[in-house]
Order: sequence, then C-alpha cells, then structure tokens
Amino acid sequence: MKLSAYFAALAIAASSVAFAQEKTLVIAGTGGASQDAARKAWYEPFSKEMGVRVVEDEYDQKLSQIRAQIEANNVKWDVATVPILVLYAGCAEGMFEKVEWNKLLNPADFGEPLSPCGVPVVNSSGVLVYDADRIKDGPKTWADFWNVAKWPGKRGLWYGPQETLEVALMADGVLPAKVMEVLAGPGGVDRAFAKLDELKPNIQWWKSGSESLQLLGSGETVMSYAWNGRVAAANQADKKHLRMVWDAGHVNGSSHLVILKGAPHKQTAIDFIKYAASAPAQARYAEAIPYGPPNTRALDLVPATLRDQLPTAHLETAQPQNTQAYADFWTEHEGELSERFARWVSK
Amino acid sequence: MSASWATHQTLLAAVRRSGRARSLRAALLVAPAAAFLAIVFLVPIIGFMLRSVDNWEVPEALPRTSVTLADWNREGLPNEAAFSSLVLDLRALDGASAAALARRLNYSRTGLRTLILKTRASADAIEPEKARAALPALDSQWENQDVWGTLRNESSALTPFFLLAALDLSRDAAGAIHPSRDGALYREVFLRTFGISAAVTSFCVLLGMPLAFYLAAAPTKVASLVLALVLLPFWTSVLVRTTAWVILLQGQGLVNQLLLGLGLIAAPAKLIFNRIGVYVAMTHVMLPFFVLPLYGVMRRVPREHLRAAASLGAPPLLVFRKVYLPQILPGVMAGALLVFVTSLGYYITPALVGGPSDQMVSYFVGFFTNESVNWGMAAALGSLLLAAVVGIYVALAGPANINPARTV
Repeated sequence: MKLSAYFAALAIAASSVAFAQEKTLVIAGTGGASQDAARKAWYEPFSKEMGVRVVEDEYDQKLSQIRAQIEANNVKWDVATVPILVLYAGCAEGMFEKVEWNKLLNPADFGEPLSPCGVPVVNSSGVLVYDADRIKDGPKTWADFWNVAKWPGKRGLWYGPQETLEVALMADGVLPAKVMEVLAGPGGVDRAFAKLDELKPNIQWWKSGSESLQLLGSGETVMSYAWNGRVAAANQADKKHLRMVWDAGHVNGSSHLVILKGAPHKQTAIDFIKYAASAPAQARYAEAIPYGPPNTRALDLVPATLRDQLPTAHLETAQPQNTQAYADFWTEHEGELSERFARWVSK
Repeated sequence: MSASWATHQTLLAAVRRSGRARSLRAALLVAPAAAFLAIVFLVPIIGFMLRSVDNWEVPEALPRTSVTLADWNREGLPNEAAFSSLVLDLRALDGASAAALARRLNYSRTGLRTLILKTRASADAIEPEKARAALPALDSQWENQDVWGTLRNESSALTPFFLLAALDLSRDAAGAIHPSRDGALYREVFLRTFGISAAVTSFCVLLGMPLAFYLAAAPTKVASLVLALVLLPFWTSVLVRTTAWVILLQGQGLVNQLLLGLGLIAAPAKLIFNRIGVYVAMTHVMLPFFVLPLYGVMRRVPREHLRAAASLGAPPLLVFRKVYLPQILPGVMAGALLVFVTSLGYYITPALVGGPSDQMVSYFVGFFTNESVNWGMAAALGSLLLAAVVGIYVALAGPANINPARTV
C-alpha cells in the first residue's frame, strides 16, 4: 500500500516536471479563414519544430481587450495579431514589448525599417468586388461603383468612416496614392462626405467581413467593397465567381504580430514571430489564403499563378495604410469622424 | 377580566417574538443572495458610473498646470506661470503617459493630440521662464483661448465632459454650457431607443394578451404543449434567432418569395435592414418575456368571478372590462415593464437587422467600449440610460402600483 502510493506520487511528480518543461505560447488571432490559414502555415509547423504547445485564442482586433488585460495586470496572451492603427496606438501607450526587430530580422526584406513594437506578417486589401455570374460587363473604377444608372442596385460599404472616406475620394477622381494627402488636407473630409451623399440611398452598410460576402451572395448588393482574402475564400468554398477589380484602387494595409507587455513567455514569443516572418512561413500562409506576404523574399517561393491574386502584386494602385500620415490622421480624427459619420448616416 | 387581559398580552408578546424570529431567519436566508448581488451587481454599476466622470489622465499628467490654471479667470490667456508649468509637466512625462494624455484631451478638442505630442517632443529645448514666448512660436494654437479653456475645463479629477457630450452639450472656454456645435446625435438616439422600445412593448401586448389568455383557458395538456412552444425560443441563442430573420426577410428570402408567388406584390419588399426588421425581430425575441408573467396572473383569476358577472346579466365586453381586466392589469404592467426595460438595452438585434437610422444607445456604448476605447463616453451613455430607466420605473411603478412580485 505504502509502496504503490510512493510510486504514484513519483509518477505524478515526473509528469508535472515534464509538463513544466514543455514550452507554451498563447496567440490571439483574427479568427475565421485567416486563423485557419495561420494555423496551417505557422502554428502547427512551429509547434512541431520547436516543441512548443501553441494555444490559440481569437478576438475582435480592437485595442480594448489588450488594454483591459494590461490594466488588470492579468496578461493572458503572449502574441497578438493587430491591425495598423491598433499597433500605432498600443505602441505609443507602451502596451507592447519593444524588441530590436531590425537586428533580429532583415528590414530590407520588408522594404522599410521595422517598428520596435511589431512585425508585419499579413498584407491585405479592401477591394471593389462584384459577382461575375450576375454582371457580365462589370465596373472598372470606383466612379463606376457610383454609377447607379448603368448598374442599378445596392452597393456594399463598410459601416464606418475608415476606408469608406478613402473609397469616396477615389471615386471622386483622386489617385489612390494621393488619397491620404487629400483627405488630411483642407476640405478633404467634406469632399468625401459630399461624394458619399450622392450614393447614399443605394448603400447597404456591412459591419463584418462575412456580412459583406453574404450580402453579395444573396444578391442584396450588386457590388461591394470587401476584403480580398474573404473573397478568395468564398470563390473557393462556395464555388462563386467573384471578381476583384484591383485596378480601380484598393486600400492596402498590414497586420502585425506584437508581444503584449508583461507576456508570460516572452522569449518563445520572439522565436515565434521570427519564425512567422521568415520567407518559407510567409509563402505557406499566402498559399493557404491569398493575403500578401510583407516579406518580399516569400514572393519568390509562391507559385506564379497565385502571385497575381495577392495584393502585393497590385501595389501600384494601392492606397497604403502603412504610412505615418495614415496613422497620424486616423488616430487624431477617429473619434470626431466616427461621430460625424454616425450623424450623417442616420439622416 | 384582568387575567384574560394578561393572557392576551402574553400571547401578543409571544406572537411578536416568533414573528421577529421568523423575520430574522428570512433575513439570514436572503443574506448570501443579497451579498452576491451587492458584489456582482452594485459594485460594477457604481464602478462604471464613476468611470463616466473619471478624469485621472489630466491631473496626473499635468499636476502643476492644473494648479496654476485653477486661478485663471478664463479671460484672455493665462499668466506666464501656466505656460512654464506646462513645459515642466510635459518634460516630466514618459511616452505612455503622454500618449494617454494626448488621447484624452483629443476627445475634448480634436487637434490637441498632435499639439501635445509635438510640444512634448520640443519641451526639453524650451526654458520654462521663456515658455510664454516659446510655446506660441512653436505652434500658434497656444495663443488660442479655446485651447487653454479646454485644458482648464479638463484639469480636475472629476469631469462632466462625457455626461455633457452624451446629451449633445459642451462647455466652451468660458465654462458656459451650451448645445454642441456639431448638432444633436445622442439626444436623437435616446429618443429613438425609447420610441423603438415603446413600439415593441405595444406589439408584445397586442400579440401576447390573446396568447396568454389562450394558454390560461386551454385544457392542461394543450396548454403544456403551447407553453413548451412559447419557451422553445429561450433555448435557442438570440444570435441564431436574429440571423434567421435576416434569411427570412431579405430580398430573396422566404417571405418575399411567398408574397411574390401569391402575387400580392410586384417587386421584393424591403423588410430587413430597416425599422420593420427591427420591430419584427425584437417582438419575436421579447414575446416570451411578456407572455409568461401574464400567463401566471391570468391563471389565478377565478373563473367563478366571470361566470358570476355573466349570470348577473353583464355582456361579455363588460365582464372583460370591469371584472377581468382589473385583475390581470398588474400582470400586464409588469410584463410590459419587463419588455420595455429589456428592449432599451438591446444591442445585437438592431445591429444585425436594422439600418443605420435604427441603431440604439447600446450600439454606441459597444462602439465606444470596443472600437474607440473611449470608456468615459461609454460609461456616460450607460449611466444616462440607467438613470432614465430608474426614473421611468419610479414614475410608473408607484402610481400604477406595479409590484412584479404580485405576478408570482
């Protein structure tokens, strides 16, 4: 009796020691098709190669959950995927661990120096989409998107000022690369709202990526602004023929991987981010879902047929979000413009 | 005589003692639940109400400036001491605190974020004694009375800024309160919220009373089946129910196809992403909340009263009006109040099936909590909604003698 108890205690002690030695990493992703792709391309290979137990979580890509964890001193996530404005705001307020990424990675691969707060790993675009099955002669520019006479029906737009005001300016004839300059300049916002006024009775607002595709699929909208990865996923899964009009101009931005301040497994997090930003891992991700790899070396590893579907192949017509001008303008004016948009949209 | 009086007194005392013991036992039984409610319910509510007036960022980041500005009489520009203390305060700030301060001041006046961060970046190079000349040279906004007025308004630990903004009011540099220059938004939203909730309550009353009456009058077997059908929606997620309405009511949805097939309409009717969709979906979700309390009350109305009234010669309508309705009125009022108050806070249903002019207060609370991370504004809108609900309850429940306990 005593001997078996002794062995049982020994077995428990041994297993708990083994458990404690296994490394863990908690990652908060975007959910949906993007997270499935990340799992295939990054989490599972990383877990196998480095012997790390990867625990996934997902959240709504807003700063509030990160801030709540840090303020409560109860940081559960090591790594999080964040959009550009969340990176900017969180970095300024010291919510992310600062790491010398320019020394650990090669900034030349990414085309520009890396922020100490995070590394870009996913490049995606919001683009003009229409169903080629329903419309044979489709729109070619954002001005066509506004042309209700030629293509009657509702148009889908994101329910918020961000990205929507940029699209309105592109429809008003502003070149994609110059949109931020015009928007931040005198009268830019008024010009965008005036242009939106023209289309307003025909706009169907959507609040989530899947809603935009659902509206297109059911025919509630004849054309829509939507995010390119979701469109490709719908084409693949639902056998649809949704066409993306890159040449009209698209709003292009990156998601970054960041380490939360006070993360429990900081070194493992650094190793993971280095892994996910490496060319082979980035190429695997692009193959799983057509979001462009910020690491330009990865483009060489991607099959040529896929390269055309990636936003990084169409950067000449991109309205870039990864600029200081974009981050400054929207961080400053987000509250004011959201209220103005709410007032405008309910009239 | 006195012996029976003494016995009477002892009996009375004994009854009172046992009554006290019973009350004490009842209090002890309720105590754990009361403590749980106090911790889990009252503490967070008081916490967020305090958050709507909490202004910790500014006094913490600008201690000296807050003190010097307190003496300013709001005319012209503040004295030199204010400029120097601003430079000293900004020098002492670390990056994270400066960003928090900039974000907070930007809520009160757009443009202050860039101004504060820009000034802080140059603060080390400015000598405090020369600040009065150096700051306006750095940026002309430092000569603007409105900028200093905003700093003065926001430099105390408690601020009415969020509560005022939630009512579309603002304070100018002189400290006077007047309607916000941008126009009314939240007042309209509050009115819309109360309007939609009142409409949904009316629909629930119109649909729920016959249903509850049928439930109360039907034989037990049938009544149990119908009751189970009424309860079935409770076991389905509200999100699933709401999304199902989208599929039913959309342009190519089942309802439109039925109407088109029957030839009642020529083109698909717009039933979703507008007020109609909101009313339909919310009534569907709220109906069980009304039917169940009313059913409880209706079941306890003695049938004999109705039969007696009829036998005394009253026509059915008079029986209903004079005998039945007064007895079920507490149940109707309690159910209506429950539906009204729950509808006020409803977020997901109007967000999914409503159009842009159907968003209720809770949508904005959610927006400020998650997207804009402006928790002061979210707390202010929530506190005002809570105050309105408490006000309505006090105003209606007293005179109408609504006591939800009476439905049990």
